[in-house]
Amino acid sequence: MTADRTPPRLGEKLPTATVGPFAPDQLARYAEASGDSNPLHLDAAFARGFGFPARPVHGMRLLAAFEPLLADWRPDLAAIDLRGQFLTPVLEGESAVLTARVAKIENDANGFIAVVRLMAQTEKGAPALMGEARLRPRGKF
Amino acid sequence: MTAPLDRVGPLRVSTPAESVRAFRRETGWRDADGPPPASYPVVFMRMPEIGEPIRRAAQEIGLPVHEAQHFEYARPVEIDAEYDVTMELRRESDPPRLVSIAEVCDLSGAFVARVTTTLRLIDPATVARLAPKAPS
Repeated sequence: MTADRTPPRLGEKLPTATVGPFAPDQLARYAEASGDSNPLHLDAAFARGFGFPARPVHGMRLLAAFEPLLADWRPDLAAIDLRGQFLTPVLEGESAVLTARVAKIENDANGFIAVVRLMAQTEKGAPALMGEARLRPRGKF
Repeated sequence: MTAPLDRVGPLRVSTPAESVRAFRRETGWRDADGPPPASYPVVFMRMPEIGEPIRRAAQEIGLPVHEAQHFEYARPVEIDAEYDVTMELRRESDPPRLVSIAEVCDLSGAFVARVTTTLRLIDPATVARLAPKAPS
């Protein structure tokens, strides 16, 4: 873990993390904490009615899971931008594998911005989420 | 991009410590105590004044499915603080989507963050080809 304000190395890979498997009560607790009570994530019969074999995990749950990963890697950096596109659904009972890599280092008057590409994959290796975080040293917004 | 379907706000929102703790706990943080994560402002979307226009607009087509999310910050959202949120809702077609753009400002009116939520609207008639196949 680095605790300074030097830019990360271009191409550096963050430690891979696995989240899940997601139990139904975890989906319900995330829905409660986030306020996203779309029945697709909470009602198995509703999800089946839309062709899903099981309740899909909230896409936001996966995007949010990158934040502790980023904070563990570089606690001296903070996200000024975080984005994700939700692709293949991760279903209840399944896990997702999170990977991230430093794709670019930008510089401006406030210092550097590390651009980190984010990817989550389903257990079967399908892309569940592709995203990006832009990180600055804390206090340099 | 078409003209906005709806504009909402400003609405007063807050970041109570217990809500932030619950969000951190359920999104995998080792320590539930800490500042609001960058993704925390999705919680603001739970307000009926924001959620109801989205639900109403989505209902005309079908099921809203979260397709993309974007958070942009001028400075961090702080814990136990109040903010004003304004939200603009736009519709895209082909494929049908709703795009909600929420701006978070502090109580002096200074811009803090922009939260863009993209929802794909799923017509029930198309679900057979969109949903994943059941495992065999």
